[in-house]
Amino acid sequence: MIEILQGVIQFFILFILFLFPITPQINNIFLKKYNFEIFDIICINLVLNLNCYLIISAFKIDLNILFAINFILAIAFLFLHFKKNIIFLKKTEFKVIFLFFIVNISLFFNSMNDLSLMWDGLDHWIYKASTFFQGLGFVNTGNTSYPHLGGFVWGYFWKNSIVQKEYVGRLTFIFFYVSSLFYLINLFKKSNLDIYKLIFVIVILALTYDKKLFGGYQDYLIFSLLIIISKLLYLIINNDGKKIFLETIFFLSAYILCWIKQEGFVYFIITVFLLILFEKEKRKKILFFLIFFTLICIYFFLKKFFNSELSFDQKFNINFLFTPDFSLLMQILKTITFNLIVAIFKYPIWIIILISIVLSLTDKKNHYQFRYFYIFLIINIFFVYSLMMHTCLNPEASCELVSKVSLDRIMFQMSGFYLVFIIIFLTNKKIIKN
Amino acid sequence: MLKYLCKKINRNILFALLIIIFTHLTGLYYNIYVIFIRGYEERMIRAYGDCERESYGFVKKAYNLTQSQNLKIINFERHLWPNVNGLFNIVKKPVDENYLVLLNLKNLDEKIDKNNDLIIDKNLKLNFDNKNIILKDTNCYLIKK
Repeated sequence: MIEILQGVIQFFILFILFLFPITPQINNIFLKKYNFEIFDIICINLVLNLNCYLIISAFKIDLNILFAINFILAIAFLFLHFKKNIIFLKKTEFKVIFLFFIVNISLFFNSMNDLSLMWDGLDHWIYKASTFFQGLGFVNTGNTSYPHLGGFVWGYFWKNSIVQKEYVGRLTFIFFYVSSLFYLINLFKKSNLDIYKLIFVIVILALTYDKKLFGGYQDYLIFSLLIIISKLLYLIINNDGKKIFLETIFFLSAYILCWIKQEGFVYFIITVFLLILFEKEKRKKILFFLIFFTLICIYFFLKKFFNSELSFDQKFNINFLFTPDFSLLMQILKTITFNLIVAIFKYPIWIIILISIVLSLTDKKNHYQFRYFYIFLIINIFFVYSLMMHTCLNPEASCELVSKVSLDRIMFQMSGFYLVFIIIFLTNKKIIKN
Repeated sequence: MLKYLCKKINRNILFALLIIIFTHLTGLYYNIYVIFIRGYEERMIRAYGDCERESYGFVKKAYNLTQSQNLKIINFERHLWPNVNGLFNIVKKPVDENYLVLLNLKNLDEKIDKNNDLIIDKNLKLNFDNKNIILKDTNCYLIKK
């Protein structure tokens, strides 16, 4: 019974925590021009909180006290302007919030029933979470190339739970995932019927939900952050006027990717590159580049501080460059391509993405609006092949095995970026009924 | 007015149906029932096995029996199943050199010599005399070194 209560309470704890520091009332006062809705606020707070967690993870702090302060502040800020905050919440249709609750609870209980962690979860990531649970602060647990932020989030909520079980920490990943899907809702035109929006969310959920990936993997965090980044990029690129707040949140969310998984560093570079590429003002381009450069410097400084390294699982086989073997190269390319196709069918959201991309290419009107999605796709395919080649050229690695167990997850992470594209494409085409 | 009401009711019915279908497909009711009737440990054993796969059940018993903080575990099917030690919060705790947990050690009789010794590698030789076996369950052993 206590565990069922824990599941329900955890939802409300997360909901309250991530309505802070940008509470609905703060949004009303300072950010009114952006027309944010409840899920925009939650996702922005996710990004802000993750950045705070990154800073906190560098220190050895009592996580119970930290959580108490965090929670009290969140509650206090909500109650400070209770009426106005409630009015804001009421603006979002009750059905949407209720569905948000139901989806979270359903997926929470699904994970709570099947407690198994997958290989990487049990072999690497749980140790990172465990160090924070044990109150040791950041500890080098051996796998220095894996960043620790996901582990911190896991350990933080694990420590601050009623039942003190590891799965409670993982429920946070589910909350991030569901929030990011609901964050897409206000991309639909106002005239679209709510019920169609909800059905769309459920369909996307059905196509992207994979219980195994909540078994200790960090891929859903990357997936959720890519949804947020993709929407921010869309808003920044396609809207004129001042967007300083959106740009700030964009940089913060892109930067936090570096601290989730090694691939995140590559996504960080690609997404910032897209922002700089599509910025019209020259001065801003320079400013963005400077911010990018500063963040990279901070990243490497922190990496050194955490005594970790930036590398992928396998080391690059430099000998191949001096004595290239073309038959081996063809064999590797064949393996990668085969597993890429398998990954597309494993996560059928990719089939919808690819169909939408092909259809959008036939319509010249859309080209301009969707440019950055096309470029992201091209760069990413190049990234996937490079990464896999880097791994497969290592004689110690089994190309077949590595492609089989990792390519599908990399493809899955990337798919988050295109969900915004699918919605804009569908609403432009009026496939979703007005 | 009637038309408006019908439309409103239809939408609400559609929404209720959506919720029911969704919760059914995600197994919400079943999951609540299972969490209610099966305790945490039982679900963990179902997830990782008692004395099979990662053998969470046996390792848990070994921890309880030895009161150790960090047991060394050797899973003879290491290529198939990862180590469950991470679930026992062992970071920065010293490895207990007095005990050893052996999992998925099949056909032991064929592997031990006439002195009941099992050579795991050149640095590790274990004696399987009854006095050294603290806990045994099918293919899982807790050995006193």
